[in-house]
Amino acid sequence: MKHTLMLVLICAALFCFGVAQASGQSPEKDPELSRLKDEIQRRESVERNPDIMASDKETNRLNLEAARAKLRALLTARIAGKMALRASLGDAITPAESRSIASAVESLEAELRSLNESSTANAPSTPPRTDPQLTVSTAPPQTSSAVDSQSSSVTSTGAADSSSTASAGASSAASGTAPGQTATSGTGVGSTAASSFAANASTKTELLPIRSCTEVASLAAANPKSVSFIEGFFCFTVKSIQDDKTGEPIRPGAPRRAPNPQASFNLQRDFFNFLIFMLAREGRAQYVLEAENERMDKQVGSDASSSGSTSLVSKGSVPSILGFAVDSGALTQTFGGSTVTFRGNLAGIAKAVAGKGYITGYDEDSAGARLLRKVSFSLSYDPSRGEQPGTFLGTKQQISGYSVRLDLYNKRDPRDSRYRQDWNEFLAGVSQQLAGQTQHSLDVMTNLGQNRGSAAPKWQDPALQEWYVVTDTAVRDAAPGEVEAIFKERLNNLPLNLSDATRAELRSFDARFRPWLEGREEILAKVAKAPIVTFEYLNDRPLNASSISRFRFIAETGLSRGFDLTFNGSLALFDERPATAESRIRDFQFALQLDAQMGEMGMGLGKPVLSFAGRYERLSEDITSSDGLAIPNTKGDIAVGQLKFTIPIKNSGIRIPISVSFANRTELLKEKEVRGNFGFTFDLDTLFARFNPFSR
Amino acid sequence: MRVMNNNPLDLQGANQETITVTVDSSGTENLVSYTLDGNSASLPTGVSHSSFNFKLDRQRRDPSLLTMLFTFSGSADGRYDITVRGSGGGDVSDFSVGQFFAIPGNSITYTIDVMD
Repeated sequence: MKHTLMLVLICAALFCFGVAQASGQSPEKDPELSRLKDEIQRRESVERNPDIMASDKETNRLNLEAARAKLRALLTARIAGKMALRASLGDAITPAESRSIASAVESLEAELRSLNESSTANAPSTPPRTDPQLTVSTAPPQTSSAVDSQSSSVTSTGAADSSSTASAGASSAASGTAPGQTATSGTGVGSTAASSFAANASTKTELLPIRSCTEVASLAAANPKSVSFIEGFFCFTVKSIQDDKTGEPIRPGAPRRAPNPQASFNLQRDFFNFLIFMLAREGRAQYVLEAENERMDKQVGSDASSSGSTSLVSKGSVPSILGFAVDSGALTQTFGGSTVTFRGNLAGIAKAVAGKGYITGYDEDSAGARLLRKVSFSLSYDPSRGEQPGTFLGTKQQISGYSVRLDLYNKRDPRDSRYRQDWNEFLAGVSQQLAGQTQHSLDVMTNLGQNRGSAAPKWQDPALQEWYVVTDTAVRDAAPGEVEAIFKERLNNLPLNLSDATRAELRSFDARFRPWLEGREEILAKVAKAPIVTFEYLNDRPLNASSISRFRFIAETGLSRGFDLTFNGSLALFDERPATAESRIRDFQFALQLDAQMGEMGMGLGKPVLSFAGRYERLSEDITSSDGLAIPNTKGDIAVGQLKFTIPIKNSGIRIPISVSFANRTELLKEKEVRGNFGFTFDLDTLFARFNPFSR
Repeated sequence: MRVMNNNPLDLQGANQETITVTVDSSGTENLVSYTLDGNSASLPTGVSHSSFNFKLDRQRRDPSLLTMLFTFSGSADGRYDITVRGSGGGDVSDFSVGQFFAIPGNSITYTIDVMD
């Protein structure tokens, strides 16, 4: 009996240990969470203590809110981590693990709710101050554990600049202040306007739509227009701070810098970004929040001559690394079928394989790399061939064709000399105006333009300054991996009760920022419409018949905004003249396609493209059937028209082409035919950018 | 010239000292506008290396403010490397504005305290 009991206890202990291991650290045992909760409890007790002076409580209150902000961000991050664990385990998750994760999430969420309730309950009832004499002191940066000993080092009232501590500059150097951190605002903060923080928090409206920076990075690499300005500038700021904290080199190839764990904002570097955050937070400048989408000039699917292609006309541009497409249906051949096509760029693949990654690899702009980028290839497989028909094996037997492309003429480079005049006008106009406005706003909104001695940079707007002090403190104390969550949480609390002067500057900045964006876009749209001429060699390998070499010229140009025109002209030769053929010339073709990009569809779908295409083909010789026999009286003229609707799934690289084609005959049968085609294409630029482990 | 507070954008120079700003661009057309104490200008396009200089004048403005706006002509991999030197020697300020997350450009501001 005793042995049985011991066995049960051991099993129970092992089970508990296993569950704990599987679910990770419980929230109760997370030292950082515990430390923050302890700090919050202590500070809350200070708030309740009637013996403590009001001025001391005000200092305490700001630090309390900073601790709450950090705890809120940490709890959110921990919940996300548990959810990610559950998602990663998928079907492999055990019931015990599932229960443990659910319990941990429930516990974390309860803590988050409790924290929010506590913040609301403790919010002071006094209205927010708008005292222009707000003073924020500049204790040197410090770790949270040092708060108690140093937080009383600063307090003052009176003129703004008198608030600085004389030792701020020296302290920053001594404590390893980040570049740009003139000891802005440590955790020791004295302010007579502390009460407005909670009031600001209560004015919080909907959350800013910012995805994770990992996702933003991958989306930016795959399709830059799928990233909003707020996301781009937010992640840029986060990265700048993280790089300061970890000591990343200032540029590729430069030596690493000394890590500065307490790095935070640098107003001289981040002011421009803050203006954009404020515009976004205000909600009036919607263009800051929205992302554009999709481009229509990429050929991802198979060539029109492939079995099952949905493309009647080949496009001039190909994915940077690798595209993958499965097209079903057929355009001019009678037999349906499926073709798996890989299409890509030699330079992109070479660099990816070399371990330099898509993102970093792309910025090498050597002559050799430029030449490699002009060369692309495709490889098509027919899964119906080989030892297991219907299964894609990627074997040599299933190769149904390959192609090589060379850009002969491509003026879609913004650095081409033909755009220099446009850029010069851009610089002399909207760019200089924005630079001037940015400086004016900085001069009005901060103390950077004043002879401030060793005083820390600060915002003139009291509400903004209060928010900034708390945010700066929380970010300063954060680990690099926590900066994103904390700053995002704080951005959602960016005050809306800004002063008239601040709002006026935001309006002026908005009036300069938008034309600058539009001016740049206008030139880039012109670049995107420039002509491309490409030569393509394609080898088609039909079953039981001579291979065919096709030589094709592809010319593409943009018309007005949203319209694209593509021309194909090709000549096909038999690699070996069939016994029944009079010459090696199999056919020649001409094709024309007009693409029109339409408005966004919503529901997670991007901007669809409507295409009209026509192709004329002259068959000089009779067609050879799949069993190797020539089919008499099949040479002649073929005309095909096509209406195609391509639906992109937003931010995924996936497109679904649906088309209807009309032909006077097919290659095998002299009968009219109407055929529907349905396809699926995936641009692997997206996948490589998202999962590439060597991208930074 | 001195770099203050370990911040390459926070500078200090002597009155009448000539400050030279050099910009090297890569992965982008050279699209740089700047405003020096309220007066705006741009650097030439079509080059990857460009510079300008100015003299610190305590009478005109102290601190001197130099706001630089960098525009990226592409969607990725653009970079501007900025070096600031004073004619009187001393520190050299080195800063980079890289293009990440498809941002269209960015702006930084140098503050230069003018000392007697």
